[in-house]
Amino acid sequence: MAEEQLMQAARLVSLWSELSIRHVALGMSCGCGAGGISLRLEDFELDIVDYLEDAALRSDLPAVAAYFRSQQTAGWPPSPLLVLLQQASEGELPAPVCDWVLPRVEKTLTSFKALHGGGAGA
Amino acid sequence: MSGHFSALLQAQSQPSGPRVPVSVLTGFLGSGKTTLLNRLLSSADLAGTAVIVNEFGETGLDHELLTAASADDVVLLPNGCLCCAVRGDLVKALSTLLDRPGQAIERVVIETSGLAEPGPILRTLMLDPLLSQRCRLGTVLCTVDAVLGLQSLERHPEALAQLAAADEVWLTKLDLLVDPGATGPLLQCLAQLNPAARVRQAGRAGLAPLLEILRQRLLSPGPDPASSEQAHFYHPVGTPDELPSHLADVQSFVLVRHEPLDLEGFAQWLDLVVASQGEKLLRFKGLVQIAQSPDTPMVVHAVQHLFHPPETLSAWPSEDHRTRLVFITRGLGREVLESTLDVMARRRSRPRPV
Repeated sequence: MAEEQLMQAARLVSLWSELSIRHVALGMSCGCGAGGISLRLEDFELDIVDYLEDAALRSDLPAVAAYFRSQQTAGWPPSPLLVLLQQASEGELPAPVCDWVLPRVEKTLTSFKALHGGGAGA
Repeated sequence: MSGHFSALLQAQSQPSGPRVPVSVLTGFLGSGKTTLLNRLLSSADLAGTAVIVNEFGETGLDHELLTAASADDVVLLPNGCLCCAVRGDLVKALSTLLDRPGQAIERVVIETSGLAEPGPILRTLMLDPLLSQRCRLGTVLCTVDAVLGLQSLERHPEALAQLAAADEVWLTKLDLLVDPGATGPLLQCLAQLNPAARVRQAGRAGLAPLLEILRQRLLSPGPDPASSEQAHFYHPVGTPDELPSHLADVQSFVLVRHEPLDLEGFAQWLDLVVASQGEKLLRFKGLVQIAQSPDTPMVVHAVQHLFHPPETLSAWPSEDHRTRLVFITRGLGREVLESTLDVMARRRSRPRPV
């Protein structure tokens, strides 16, 4: 795997580690709204992995689909996104999977970061 | 998760009786609101209409300029620019009108102050528990001065907020233009800033379409003609050209989904958007194909970060059954919303392993 990809994966590990502990206060931005409930972005980890899995299985890339199918069959580990990114950062992910998954995760995490108020909103 | 939109979804199932449509007439100072209202009220089609005038300052005049309305049908609502101040006054004014003995009120039009953002009034109409049992938001009509409108939009955030909230835009003072064809840049700007609004030009169209929109009688819960079959939820957004510099961070765009969205996933996504970036939403409206009931679309709309309780139509207004979500935002980009919706909505749109 290219050094650039390893660095990208390591950067995404850091980004997700930072994002996952952030809280979102639901309904607290205005006194008129319902509120008092907050959640962590970590709560969306399964949604993100599930989105990736769904897109992979729909893709016409056999190696990518096969990897995600095997994970689906075996069952994802706890903290599946973190594990996936750590595997990528350590060069343990098959190259076609890495090529496919890293740009998507980058786009998704950047969007969640922006949605949470971390910049790149516009 | 139970955020703002999810809470409204739960409330949606609660029954309520017929509700009086309350429409809001907004527009910047001097843009011709009172003139338009007088013309509308002079039509027999709008008999049974009560008017609430929300003016800025201790002494209002606009209510006295409403010559076409009976004095009994006009209520002055002073100092309407402050969220908390307007709420109680508006609730009281509407309650007084609706409880008045004699002929029942068929509809209410609120004329806002030219300096006010319409948000506080719309929030009160959408969210006040007492009002929402008796009233529903009709249409939001915004007057824009054909001569000064572009300048107002560039210089005054209030004018932008008024435009963003509008379902209908009424272009005024066309007769004052030296070149009758000079409306091009303004029309382009209006289409870019609020692509979901229908723009009508006073000189070209009669009042009939507006009268028809406002002439909604008491409606039971369900399909809302102001926002359903007769509505213009979605107009294709043209190629965006450069906006005036002061409006450069305002974007309007449409997210389209070909596959139905799971209700829970969609609601959670909206909760997240509202909680995290609600202040950057100027306007949002959408027609949503829900996976659980794909033949009856859900109508959702919000002004700033507050949503109107969603409504379900009995049928799709056209052959196009795709989900279409129209956003007007300030500093919140399309990609952020699009990719987070991808995550939140798709997961639940396919069968889960047992």
